Amino acid sequence: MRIAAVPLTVLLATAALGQEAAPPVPEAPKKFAVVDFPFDGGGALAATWEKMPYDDRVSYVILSAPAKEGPWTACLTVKGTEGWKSEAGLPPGGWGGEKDVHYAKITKLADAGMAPVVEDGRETWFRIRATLDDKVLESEPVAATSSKNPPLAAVAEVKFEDFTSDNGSAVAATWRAGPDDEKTTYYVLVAASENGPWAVAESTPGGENFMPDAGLPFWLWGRDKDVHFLKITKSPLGPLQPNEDPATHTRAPTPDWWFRLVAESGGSRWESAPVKLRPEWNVFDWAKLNKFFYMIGFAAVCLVVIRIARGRHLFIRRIPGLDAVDEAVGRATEMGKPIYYLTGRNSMTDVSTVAATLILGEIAKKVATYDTQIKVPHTDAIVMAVCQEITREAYITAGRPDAFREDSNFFVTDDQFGYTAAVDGMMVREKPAACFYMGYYYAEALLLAETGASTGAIQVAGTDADHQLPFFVTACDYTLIGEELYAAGAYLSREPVLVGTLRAQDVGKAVILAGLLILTVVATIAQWVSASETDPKKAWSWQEVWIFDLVRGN
Amino acid sequence: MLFAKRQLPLIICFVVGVVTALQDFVPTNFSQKVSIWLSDWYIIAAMFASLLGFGSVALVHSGRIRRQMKGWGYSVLVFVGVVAMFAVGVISGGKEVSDSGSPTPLTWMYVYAMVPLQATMFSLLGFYVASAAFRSFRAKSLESTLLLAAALIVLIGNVPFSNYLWSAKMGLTEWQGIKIGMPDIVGWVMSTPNVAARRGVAFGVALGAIATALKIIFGIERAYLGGGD
Repeated sequence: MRIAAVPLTVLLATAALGQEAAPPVPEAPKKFAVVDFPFDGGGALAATWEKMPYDDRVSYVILSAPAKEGPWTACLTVKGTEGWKSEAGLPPGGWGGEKDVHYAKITKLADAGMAPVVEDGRETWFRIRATLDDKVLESEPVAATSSKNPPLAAVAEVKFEDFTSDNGSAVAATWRAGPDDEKTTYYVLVAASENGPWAVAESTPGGENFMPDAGLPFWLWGRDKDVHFLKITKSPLGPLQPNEDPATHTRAPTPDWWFRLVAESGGSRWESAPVKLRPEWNVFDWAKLNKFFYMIGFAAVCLVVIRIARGRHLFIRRIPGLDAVDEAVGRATEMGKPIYYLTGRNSMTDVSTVAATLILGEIAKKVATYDTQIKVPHTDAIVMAVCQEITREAYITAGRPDAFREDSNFFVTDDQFGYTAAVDGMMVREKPAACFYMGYYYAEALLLAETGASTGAIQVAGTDADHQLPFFVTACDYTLIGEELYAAGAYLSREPVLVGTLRAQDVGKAVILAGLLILTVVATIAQWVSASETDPKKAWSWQEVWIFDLVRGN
Repeated sequence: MLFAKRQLPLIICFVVGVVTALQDFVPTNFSQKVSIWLSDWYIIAAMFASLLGFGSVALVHSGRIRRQMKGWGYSVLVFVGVVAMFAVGVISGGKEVSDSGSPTPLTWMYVYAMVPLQATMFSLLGFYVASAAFRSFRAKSLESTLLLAAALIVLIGNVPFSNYLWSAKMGLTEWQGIKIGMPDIVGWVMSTPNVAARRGVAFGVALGAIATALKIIFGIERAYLGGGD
């Protein structure tokens, strides 16, 4: 018996220790407040107070009195398990949706059939009495006055439209700002059916979020500074466009949604009629129309110039870095040392890597002709595979397929500094005659180029990584800056068709230069005009000049 | 055979190039799926290529060991490292953290071997920058003098003490309504002449990249296929 009692005692002691201390009963219901019932025609007040411990055993009685001293009359009884603020059914605005705060609407001043009603403009005192078992707890008295909330002036030009040029996941809400815009808060409500339940999808204070803020170009979107704009992409039920089911990879059809605009100012409110809308996907992104024209235009110029270039000699300015290729290969031949050729850190998806592989082909031809050795350490296996084929073909073209070595292209590692350490080590040990750094580089640029410089090699770099250009310029004998990297293949091969694309690039640059000059003038004039405007609503800045959209691609 | 080696890659390149370029202008979910689908294909190809890369490493280093070339011991270390890391990965079940919440041996190897090695290489950069700057910042010509002056302004301007001397002691904060505090001067150098030069480079790079892409899409440049025209 004693043996059995020991674990039972331990169990009870453990349970007692683990049990939380019972919350104390407060002296009075907390945060009792009575305010004018919002958004109504008067004659009502709203009482709120915090939930108490043991709320399910509490009974609340709201007492009213014409003066602070009394006499007090019971006007409303609320059980502790009912009457929550979240269930008030009031619209958004100053009214919160707390679930732990009690709420009661007061329209009569006594709990009787012919009791006096709440009169607008007359101050009345209220207190709350909570009865918990045999304890009676009372709050301090508070005063409240009911008032009529006049309806808010109707908001003009309320529109709900499918958001343009998207994948059908958004709706645009627009409306004209009213005279008391700065004091008004706007809510866009959304519901799955016309009868609700309605929930807030987006909101904005007055004076914010206007049409120019949409970031859409002028040919798609107005720039009226007096028209508000909100982009709606989700409802409290989820995104407007259903997500894909990961199991089946299917998407449910986009449902119809109902939208309405609510404007609130003080205790007044206005709401628009509900609008049914289904966001639709668009086939073409009209916001990118300018980019599309650029692409087609530049492609057309390239193709036309290439056609013109066939069979003609086009002048190309001298690029010393590429002229030095012969010198570097010749030096390697004389010294009997290898040439190191690096294609950068990026993969074949990067255009600068593609350009680097094209230059490798031309240099490998010269290497094969001079019968010297080229080593191409790689950090990307796909680039290595491509470069192997390019080098092999270069040796065949040069008539030296027997001199081609399968291991001239080799993989080192895809780790940035592992690769750098390995290549630096090879350079220091083998002391190459020449080093070529083509393609895109990151922090390893200077580590490689400085090590190469310390070995005494002729160094030629070519990159479009503008952050690394200063390092290459410092550490290398020649540097191909930006576009020269892309021109190198054509420059070395001298093929008229490839040279033609260089001329097309020049045309493109001329167009950009002309555009820059025109826009600079426009921006200066816009700035000057804007400075003379005193009304900030009317003042326009250069950012809003439509012609800049063409360049910015907004 | 020639079709598979020449025409087929060109056709694939043209179709994929045009589809990818147009995909950017079509905002539908299907269009985005196509883009993701193409990216997935590249990742799959890259995974197979990584085997090719490992094969290349094994071929190079096994050849060095076989021929007992100078430094062949390092090639042995390459294989030891590969086997050790693979074994530790298998022992750790490929996880970074064990079920008990402690780091696995794989994490330990990464944190206490790989990261310090990487940090060692990266920290060399500080010394290399100093030596490169020493060689560059010599006023041999007008251009190099301008470079030196700009570099000195930015270097000194970023030291708080220089701002104290410039503004608080010398009182140089504004001249005829123009702010001439040290941070203002540095800001101007960085945001005006520096950005102007970088944008010039960026324009050329963008046009060059587009032209190269067009050459490849339209089959004008075919060297990447492993041959000229």
